[in-house]
Amino acid sequence: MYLDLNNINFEKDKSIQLTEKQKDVLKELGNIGSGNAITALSDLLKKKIEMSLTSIDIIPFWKIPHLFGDVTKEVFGIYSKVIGENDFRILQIYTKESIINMINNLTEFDKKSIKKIKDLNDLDDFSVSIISEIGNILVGHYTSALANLLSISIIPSVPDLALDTIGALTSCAIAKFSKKLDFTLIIETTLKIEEMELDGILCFIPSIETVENLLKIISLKYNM
Amino acid sequence: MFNKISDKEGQIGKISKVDDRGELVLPIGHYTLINSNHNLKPKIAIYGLGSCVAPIIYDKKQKIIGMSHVLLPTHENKDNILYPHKYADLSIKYLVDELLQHGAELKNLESIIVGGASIFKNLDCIIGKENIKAVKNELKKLKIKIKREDIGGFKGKILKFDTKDFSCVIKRSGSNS
Repeated sequence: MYLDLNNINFEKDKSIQLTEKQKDVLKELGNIGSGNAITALSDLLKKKIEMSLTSIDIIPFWKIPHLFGDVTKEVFGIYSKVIGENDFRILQIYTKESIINMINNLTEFDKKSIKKIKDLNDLDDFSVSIISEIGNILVGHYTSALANLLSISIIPSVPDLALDTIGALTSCAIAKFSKKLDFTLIIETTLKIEEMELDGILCFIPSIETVENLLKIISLKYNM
Repeated sequence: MFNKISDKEGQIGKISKVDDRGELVLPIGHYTLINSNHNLKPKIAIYGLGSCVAPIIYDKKQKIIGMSHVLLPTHENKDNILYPHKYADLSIKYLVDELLQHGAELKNLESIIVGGASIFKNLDCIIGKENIKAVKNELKKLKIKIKREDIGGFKGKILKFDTKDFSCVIKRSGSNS
């Protein structure tokens, strides 16, 4: 049975209509990618990470910030793009506690206090490079799992960091994917480590052309 | 969390419901119009304004205020635009149109623009600058003065415009004031 690509209807009502089967396939891609990424982080921190099942949302652009809870909450964002024929972004969002505790866990220096960190400039270069490296590791493992599975080339860029409100953090990604459509497809997985107060979310945000392309590759390669 | 959205001539995006705090919260791509002669006088608020821009256009004499929360500088597809206030070029035109329909006078119109920050330094955030440029360009075409601007930078903002006295409070992410 082939995945019916004609079923991706996004011109008429500007929504993205996928069949349940297509959604399951995309969710599974998200599961494989995030599973690999989270295993890598678990090895680095030497902690067991709880991860949620991956979910998929097709939502209007203006609701995107609300996917992540209180839009005024200040969080760390790690934002990466990929270079190549597929066009997507990976946005990681972590609570302040998550990032500061990770830095403290990985370094022997003075422990950072969460209250004092209000801006990226409040962190020293070494801490910033740790965050950047965590972002790199997760995105690298996420994308290489997808690349292996689909036999395609995916090269992630160096991640961009920010500490800001959820509303402000998500605005660039919303703008990127809302030029033609009013709806965006987001595949997200949450991760948690209780004892470290680590709480984060990994979002895979593809362009509609990439969704179509990925489904086509899977359909051909796995004869679905 | 969300205010109810009412339809207007097939297009959605007008917010008219005020929440428990007396605030009218504008999500991205939405707008509001307040005639403070006979309406309530709410605060119009945007939480987490990043690369988006909020143009506020008002006629102080007639006490009519329009404000939107734009995401992109220009519209690409001409037909079937569900949220005109998503785009700076359309939003300014529609806001001014509706302000004039409600009795504002073009010569009295003044504006405040806020937003257009680059939250991430490299990726995708050039859009903030493009949004500012587009909004300024449209205002210039209509010869509407900009009385105050708080644009660009690297930080998100919380914006509250008080329709009672036309005052505008802007708070940067990470600051207490």
